[in-house]
Amino acid sequence: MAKRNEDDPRRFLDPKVIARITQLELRARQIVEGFLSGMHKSPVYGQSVEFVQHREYMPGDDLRRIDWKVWSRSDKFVIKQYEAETNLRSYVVVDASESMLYGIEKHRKRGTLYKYDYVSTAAACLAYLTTKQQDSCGLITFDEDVRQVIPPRSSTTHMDAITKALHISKPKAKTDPMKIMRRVAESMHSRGLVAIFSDFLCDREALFKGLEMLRHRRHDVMVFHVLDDDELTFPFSGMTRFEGLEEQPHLLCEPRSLRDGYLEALEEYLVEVRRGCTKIGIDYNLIRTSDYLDAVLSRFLFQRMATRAAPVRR
Amino acid sequence: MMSFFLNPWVMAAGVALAVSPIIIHLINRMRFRRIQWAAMEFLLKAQKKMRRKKILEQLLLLLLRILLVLLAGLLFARFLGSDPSQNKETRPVLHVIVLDDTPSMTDTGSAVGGKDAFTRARSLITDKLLPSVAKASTPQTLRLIRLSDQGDMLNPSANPDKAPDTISLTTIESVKGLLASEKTAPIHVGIVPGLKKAKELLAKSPGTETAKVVHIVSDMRSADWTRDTEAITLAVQELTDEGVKVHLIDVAAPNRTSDPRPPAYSENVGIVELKPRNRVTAFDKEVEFDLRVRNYGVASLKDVRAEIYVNGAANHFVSVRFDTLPGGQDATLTFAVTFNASQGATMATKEDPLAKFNVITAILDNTGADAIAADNVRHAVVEVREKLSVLLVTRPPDDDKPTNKDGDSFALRLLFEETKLSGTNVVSGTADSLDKLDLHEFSSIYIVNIPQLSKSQVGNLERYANEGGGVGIFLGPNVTVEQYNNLLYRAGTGIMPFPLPAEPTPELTKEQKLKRGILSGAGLSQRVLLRDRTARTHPALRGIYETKAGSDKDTAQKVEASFTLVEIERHWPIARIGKWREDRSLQELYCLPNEQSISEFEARVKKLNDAIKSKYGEPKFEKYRSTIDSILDKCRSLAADPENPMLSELARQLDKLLSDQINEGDASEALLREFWSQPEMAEAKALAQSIRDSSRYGDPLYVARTFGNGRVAVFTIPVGAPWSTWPSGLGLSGWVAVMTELQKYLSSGSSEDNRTLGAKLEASYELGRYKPEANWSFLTYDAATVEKGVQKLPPIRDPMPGQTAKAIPLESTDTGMKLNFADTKRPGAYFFTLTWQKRDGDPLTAPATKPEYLATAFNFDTELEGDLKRLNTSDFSRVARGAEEIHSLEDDSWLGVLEQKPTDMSSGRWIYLLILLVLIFEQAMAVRLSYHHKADELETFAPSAAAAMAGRTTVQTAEAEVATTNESV
Repeated sequence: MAKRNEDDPRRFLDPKVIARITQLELRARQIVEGFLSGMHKSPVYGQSVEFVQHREYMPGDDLRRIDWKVWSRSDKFVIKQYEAETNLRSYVVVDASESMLYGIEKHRKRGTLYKYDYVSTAAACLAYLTTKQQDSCGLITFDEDVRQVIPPRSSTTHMDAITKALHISKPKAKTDPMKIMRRVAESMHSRGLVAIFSDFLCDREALFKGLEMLRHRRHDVMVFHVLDDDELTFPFSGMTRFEGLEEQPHLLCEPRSLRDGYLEALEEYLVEVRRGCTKIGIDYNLIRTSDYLDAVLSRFLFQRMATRAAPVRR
Repeated sequence: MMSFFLNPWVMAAGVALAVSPIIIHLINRMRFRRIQWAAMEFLLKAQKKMRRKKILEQLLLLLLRILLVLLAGLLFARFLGSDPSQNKETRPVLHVIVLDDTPSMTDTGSAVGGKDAFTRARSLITDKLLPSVAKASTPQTLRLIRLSDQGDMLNPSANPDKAPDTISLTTIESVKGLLASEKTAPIHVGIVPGLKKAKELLAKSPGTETAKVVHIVSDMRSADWTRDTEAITLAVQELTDEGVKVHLIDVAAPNRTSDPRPPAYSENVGIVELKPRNRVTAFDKEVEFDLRVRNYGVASLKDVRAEIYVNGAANHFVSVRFDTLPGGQDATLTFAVTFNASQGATMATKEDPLAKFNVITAILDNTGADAIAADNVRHAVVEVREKLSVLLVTRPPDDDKPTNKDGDSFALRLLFEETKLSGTNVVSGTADSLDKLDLHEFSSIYIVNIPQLSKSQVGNLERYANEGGGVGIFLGPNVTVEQYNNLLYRAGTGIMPFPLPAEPTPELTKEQKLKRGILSGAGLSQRVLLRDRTARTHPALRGIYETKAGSDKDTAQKVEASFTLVEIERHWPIARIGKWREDRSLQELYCLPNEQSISEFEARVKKLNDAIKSKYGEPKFEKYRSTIDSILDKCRSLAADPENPMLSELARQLDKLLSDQINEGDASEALLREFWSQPEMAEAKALAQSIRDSSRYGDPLYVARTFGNGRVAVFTIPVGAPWSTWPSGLGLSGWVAVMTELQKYLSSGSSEDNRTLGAKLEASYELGRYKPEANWSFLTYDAATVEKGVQKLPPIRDPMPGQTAKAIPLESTDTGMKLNFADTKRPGAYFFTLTWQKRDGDPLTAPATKPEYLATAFNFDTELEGDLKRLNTSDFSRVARGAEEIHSLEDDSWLGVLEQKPTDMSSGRWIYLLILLVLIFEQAMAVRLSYHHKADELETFAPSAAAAMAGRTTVQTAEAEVATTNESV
């Protein structure tokens, strides 16, 4: 990977990544209402051009929607159903807490992405993709509180504002997910897509409450759980002093002796997060910082497209 | 503290190094790197969970490493143990070496041409034991004793004041020279005398000032250590209780190992006994010899031959060959030798005692599997006289003329003088002759129908018998019951084997005689019965019943057949009660038939009939019933017969019933044997046998016993008239056979023990009868130095002809004179010449002095030295309780103790074993705690993380969760 300019906010828009994902459509699994005519399904069957299905007439149905051709052939009243397309209103929510800073020195030396770098890039790419297809995209960065809020816009110049906001948000404080999610929910007045990028090293109870709140407001929520390779495999050896980020205590230990226990606790945590997300209908993706970003986003988009064939009425 | 180690400074360094694992641990704790870590939550959780276990494991590993360093320190510092002075003797040490020089030490083991055990023992002493002892820092002294005579080899003059020799290089050289000329002794000696001698020698040195060590250098055979075990255990214990260290060193080949199985030993075969049946015989008379050979090996031997030499000359007329000699078993063969006047090679002059004796030597051919050569040769001595003298003691001629055909001893005299026993010189005498004559001159004495004997006569007669003479007693009508019972029986202590009843049987009535067929001369049944099957092998009957090559097989049948023609009208009815029946030295050989009325058996026969018939109802007995019924009917009819037939008839029927009489061609016998073998018939069979025996056997007729070294035989009838016509009637042939065997038995000489080398010869004589000094000489034929098949063995004499005879004093005691001879270390014949001297009361014709001879053979103790089986290693802890562990020749570890070399941990095995164990454990712990990443570790502990690392979208469980959630939605 080429040397990146750390002061350039547009470094998060990796041209290679962008080039690979622009050929894909972003399809929200959940149909959102919108006033902009876009490519996204509306939950309301209405006047549209795309026929979906017939249904038996029920008393109360609009008589205009009866398919008289069917009646003439079969002497049965059936109703034609169409689907409408709406504009997508999406928010990219990025964790800018101190824990996202793990491995900054090591990754900078190697020229690889540390957690915050990784999620910022991913967020920028997603925002770019969204705005490119005429959908509106906003950005919220947070640590212990919401730091930056960029409201959703669909103009291409809007990307400047998003990348600057990502650049400015230097990770430093402790994450308070409940508080953040409430703020996100409050910022979004209508249903839309919320993509959250975080390591979720925070209080899980508060996290799930916050996510539930978003789901309660019928937002389509996607969680990108980003962890460093080291955090997933704990490959350390030799006497080490682990200095806790986000006000965590320090620990001097022989890491090899604790690896099994660490991995067990990690698994417990990952399962808890995944189950919690699945339970409230949130798409969950565990990503490591060494994953190719385009591959991750492509995988994600394919997943979303796959779900389109079986729309769920909510 | 420093004295606990040979290298104390190494231990100090070891202790210092022992803390090195701790220091390394502390340094590691100080040198750490810092990582800013976000996922502290999991780390803290892991630490909380694993802390106690990990700390314990880490501490254990640390301790193991410290222990390892400490053990290495102990090893290199050469730790001497908690009591360093324990293995180090500070006092002077007295060593007593007991060297086993018994004949079994000539065993070379299985190796052909290998060194024998004695040579190995010598090498051990001079090349290993003494050099090790010489290295000790304290003064070391030595006493070296041979086991055979317990003599101190370093103090041959047995000077009690001689101090033990100090062990130095000079002493070792002199011991080497001493032992080089030493050979094994020919005699067997147990371990106990050696231990006792060692104890005696050690007792001369004060225990507190001198440490004492006994070394028993032997081949450690079972025969030595399991015989008289209690005494061995006691002797060892007595030594160890006094603080003496007892070392047992096995020098036999192959070397003893720690294997718990019995050690290997050599195969051996040897002659155990060569015994003449007659020690005194006349020229041209046949003497039988029993040759007993034992195979001490495991494998069976075939075609083992023995060559017989008479006075050193090979006797080609005798062939002794054992077809098979099973492993671990004895086999006996009998052969006969006839001596004639020309055979006596040693008969230089008639005065030469050797002229009166013949030496017979048996040499076993080398079988190949034979470890000891000395036990293949055995000698025997037989006295050969021109004629054997027999003293017939009868009533005075006034009462009983010797020439009278109806006289008491007429038939005997005739037999001895004119018939088969022609080599016999008969001397007639009366009871007084027992006082007047020197009874030793007679090979046997017959007391025939003598009314009574005086006390002195009885004493002389008993002394004669006790010293090996043979006495035959014929009871008759003139016998005085009271005299016999009081003087000759003497409540079982006298020469008579049983007491006499008050009266002999009454005279037979005419009816009784007719019934027996006496008057008609046609006996129906045997009048003389063999009392027991075992009597067939009794020396007094063996000649009749023994079947041997070349002998008439029908002799026994002919003799038994003649017994039907014997007429015995009266006898002394000896009751089969009283303690004489329990006397093991006595055996009833012949008896008379039962003369009871057959009607007295009627009830018992009926009982037997009922017993059989109550059991034979089962179908399986059907085929026997008709035969059984016919015999039982016959028995019942006999018992109930008003004509009172002979009881022997009933016995015969019962014999038939029991199928004990072999009647060739009688098909019913096999059938009946089958019948009696049925388990249901066991009780009835015992009853039938009991009735048969009691109906058949009447009062004893012929009883023989041993008395001291001699023999006594008693007939309850006179020789012939007036009660019996046995020698003059139709049964004469049987009588001659029985009397011939009787004479052989009585004149066979003293019942010679199978004398072995090293044993003592003891003989008692009447006080004043002989001069107090006797001479002795030795003769043997050297079979060891000659080659197989040689015709003439070279004689070895001591003294040589022409030299002065060796003298031996006769010890006089209150009861008599005694000859005690102990110098019996050479295998061969020993001859003693005693000088008989005339006393008051002796016949006037008797010379003032005359020589009398005694000869006996001493042979190798094959029974004790031939068995080379070695005692199991584990058994020594029981037999020689308290002794040190048994050492073998290849084990030199124990010699270090003698060198007083301080033994430290490095000389033991356990320290290395312990270090190895700790090392293995430490490595196992280190590997366990080294956290080598395993390929599936991440998958095991964190499958979600593993899935992420593998680039999978999610884990299986997560997919299932999604599916479940979708369904619920």
